[in-house]
Amino acid sequence: MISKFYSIFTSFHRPIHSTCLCTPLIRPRRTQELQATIAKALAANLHVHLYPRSAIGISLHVLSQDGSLLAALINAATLALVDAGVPMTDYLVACTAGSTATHSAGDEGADPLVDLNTQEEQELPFLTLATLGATDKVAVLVCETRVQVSRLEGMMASAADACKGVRTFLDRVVREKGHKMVTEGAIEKGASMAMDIDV
Amino acid sequence: MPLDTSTYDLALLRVDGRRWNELRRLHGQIRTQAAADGSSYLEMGNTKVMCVVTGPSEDAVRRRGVAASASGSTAPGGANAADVVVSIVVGGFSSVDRKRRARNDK
Repeated sequence: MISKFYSIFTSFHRPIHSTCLCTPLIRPRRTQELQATIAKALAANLHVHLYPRSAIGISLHVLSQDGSLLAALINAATLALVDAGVPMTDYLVACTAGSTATHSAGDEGADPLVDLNTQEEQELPFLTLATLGATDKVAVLVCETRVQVSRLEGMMASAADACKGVRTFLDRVVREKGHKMVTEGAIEKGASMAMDIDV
Repeated sequence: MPLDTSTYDLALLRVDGRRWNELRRLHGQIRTQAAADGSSYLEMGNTKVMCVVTGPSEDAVRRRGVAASASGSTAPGGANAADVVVSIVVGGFSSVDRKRRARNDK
């Protein structure tokens, strides 16, 4: 079982005059950063050694963005790779988590939030966490905002917990499609089908 | 039937009505494009993403050449393992306020 852990903690200070444009949705080089993050995470999860001298192209199209973009991209890529039949260790599932707790308010025990939308992403410190399936093995951890170290553990724990829910959902999508394809006769039922399907 | 507020503390709800550990509505489909090797469509709330996978194909490396190493690909060469090449396209219509992209934004 691979256990890759790589984190990208970038903290950057934007000049004050650009705060009106500070929606971090599309920054220059933003998509390149996302591309590199996703490519590295997937390459560690996929059994790429089975395909020497070849390439796996993953083309992602963002149709609408409302927070948790990196998480959605990772989950969509996982689904498409399952459809393409590329062998992988487990589903790579991602989710975001943010923290509402502020030191001044003295609410250190406040629960972290999961699966943030745009509004929450702009107001709160947050991180994107991807795990391998339902395990707690971290494949991607991206945090671009300043966050207190004491809050990090709680955020990561709740993000990992949410990833389990996302994995259940992705697995259901795959199984429902597989079931549909068998019942509609798109693929032959044979000895190679290990799935127990009641038609 | 009224909401049972004893188990459902309304004060701890988020702006969109979720609790702290609640996910947004998830919707997913696979094999959305019959011609592609693999494809998917995923919605997490109002974030909507489409993905198309090509390969693993052998000639793609030759064809892409330098382009592959320029974008978000893994280690160059690929003599022993497949290259994973990711490209992201963000639709100009994807966010609420349409933004002009800077000239150096790829």
